[in-house]
Amino acid sequence: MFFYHLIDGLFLGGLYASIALGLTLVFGVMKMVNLAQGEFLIGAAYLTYTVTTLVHLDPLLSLLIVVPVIFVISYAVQRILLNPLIKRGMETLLVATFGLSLIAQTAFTLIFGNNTLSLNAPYTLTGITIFGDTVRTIYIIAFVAAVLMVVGMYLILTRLRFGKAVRAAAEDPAAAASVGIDVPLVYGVTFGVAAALSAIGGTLIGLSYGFGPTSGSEWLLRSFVVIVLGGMGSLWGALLGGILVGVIEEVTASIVGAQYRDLIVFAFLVLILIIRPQGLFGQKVSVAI
Amino acid sequence: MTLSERQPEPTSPETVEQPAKGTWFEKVPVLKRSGRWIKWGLLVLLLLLALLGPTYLSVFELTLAFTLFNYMTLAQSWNLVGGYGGQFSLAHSLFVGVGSYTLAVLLLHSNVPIYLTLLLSGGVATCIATVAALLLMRLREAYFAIGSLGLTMAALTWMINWSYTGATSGLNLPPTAALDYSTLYYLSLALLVLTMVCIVLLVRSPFGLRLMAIRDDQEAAAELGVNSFPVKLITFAISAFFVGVAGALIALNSLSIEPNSAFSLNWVITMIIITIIGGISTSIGPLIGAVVFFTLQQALQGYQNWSALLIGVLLILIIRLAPGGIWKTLVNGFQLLAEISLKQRSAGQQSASQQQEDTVENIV
Repeated sequence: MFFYHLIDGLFLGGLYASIALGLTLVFGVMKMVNLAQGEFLIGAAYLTYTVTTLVHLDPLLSLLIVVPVIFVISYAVQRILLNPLIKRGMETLLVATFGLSLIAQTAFTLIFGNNTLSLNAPYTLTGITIFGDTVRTIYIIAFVAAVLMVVGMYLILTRLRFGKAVRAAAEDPAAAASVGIDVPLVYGVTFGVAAALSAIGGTLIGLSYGFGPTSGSEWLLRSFVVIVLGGMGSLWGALLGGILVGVIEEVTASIVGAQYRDLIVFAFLVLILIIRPQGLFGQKVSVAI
Repeated sequence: MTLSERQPEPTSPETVEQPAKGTWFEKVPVLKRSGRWIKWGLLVLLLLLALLGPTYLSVFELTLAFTLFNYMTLAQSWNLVGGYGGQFSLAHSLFVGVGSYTLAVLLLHSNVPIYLTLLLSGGVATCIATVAALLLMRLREAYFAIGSLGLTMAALTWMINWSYTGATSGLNLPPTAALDYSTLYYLSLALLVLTMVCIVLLVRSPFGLRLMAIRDDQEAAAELGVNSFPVKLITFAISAFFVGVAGALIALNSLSIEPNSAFSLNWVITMIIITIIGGISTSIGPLIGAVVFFTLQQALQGYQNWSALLIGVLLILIIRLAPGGIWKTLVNGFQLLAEISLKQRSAGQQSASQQQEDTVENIV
């Protein structure tokens, strides 16, 4: 039985990692806690919902349309609204992104109503048996997606010229600018990429659970736990943190009861922050690798 | 302590020094003499108007005023920690909930008189805040915000499951707890005045200077011998006391409490919105912010979506264009007007005697 919970937790953790990646990337590169990240997730889920109902595409295929749209929107938001605020410090950004999330939530309610929606696909209700334990197919898809996203981001950041520019801007914006890196552009693209990653996570959420206008904050909280555990700003940390949160949730829920699930998770968050603020796997906070 | 190695952020708008009281009107000769009197006169007038409230306000208006006063108290308390202290706390929802539940439990299970219960609610909130501060005060900036958020959510999920306090269904206050509207009004007014006086005095004391020095640059403050930990801890505890009493008042007004609303994150979100709109790190800002926020909320009551949208837009506009909030923008505007009018006057008096010109220039 215990072994089954481990497997369940592992794959649930893949889903958690996929929603937390964007948050950790933005924090790692521009030291910004984006409180609107949850709305990027849910916004993408709504957008996927719209696309699938309009053209009857498979939700995962419709990501080909959704991801670029979300990228463009968030790039614009970053350049126009957030970029001028970065030099003014963290509290300003918290308030600004919080304002964004209020606006986005209201927009969702006005457009889609208060109902809980969900995305449908042939694989949402099926399961696959692994070592005798049945796991939801969508969790396995999410796990694979999370691993692919982390490896992809790692390769981009280490191999590509642009990725090196991102790391330089993350390490020391002033020095990066002095060697000719367009730091605002780097920030804007990073924010867009983070939102695009969240769009994938959001669609996976929409396929796994229902979502409403305010579900974003719930997922934002989970993402916080994941990235604090893995080390804020760390890519691999997000993956490992996601898996760890998933496993802890499943295992403790099976021991003390499902109603204490959130309590354990949040208590764990505080505990980690007190004992090891840099996260379990991160060395020093800052560079997004 | 890897966190302390992080580069200090560039000065945020909240860390802009509070303008020394009275600078702008001291530049206008007439106002320089009477400014102080005008200020105190206005204050006394407002207090008198508030004290006589129940004689000219209807019951409905009294309950509105009760909520408004509570908003002011809550926002000012958050401002002490979040504005003057620069600690972006999301744990203040926790203190509202602790205040509410302490009052309910004491009234249900003991014979403590109701007014003492209010103070005890604040006391328990202070104790919880002290423990929270011991746990979290080592963290800074985003880490502190996330830690305090985690603590609040942990407390909320605990309360949802704790059968002693009625779990999800919460508690109903005994019938003896029902107070009439003017008493509640006066209680909330008294709490507001107490909070204002304490926080204004605290901020202007040497202790307040230490607090703001830590906010602006903790390392530099440490070099000068300011130990940040006790200062932050005491500020947090004081702030929690007022929030706890306000939480108890809110419970007294609604007469039944349940965890999802008592510990709701909306409390701290409201405090932050009010403080930012009105003017963070100013003593008047939260009052003005509360009036603006509450008016918006009431005016658009039937259109909750639109009021949330409007507040979101307002928040972004203010943080982008007027980071000091409404109050600082007003003060700066007046200052500008006063300077312009003075310049015009001094230009018109060029022909006047040398001595007169000297005085005007001295004043400018």
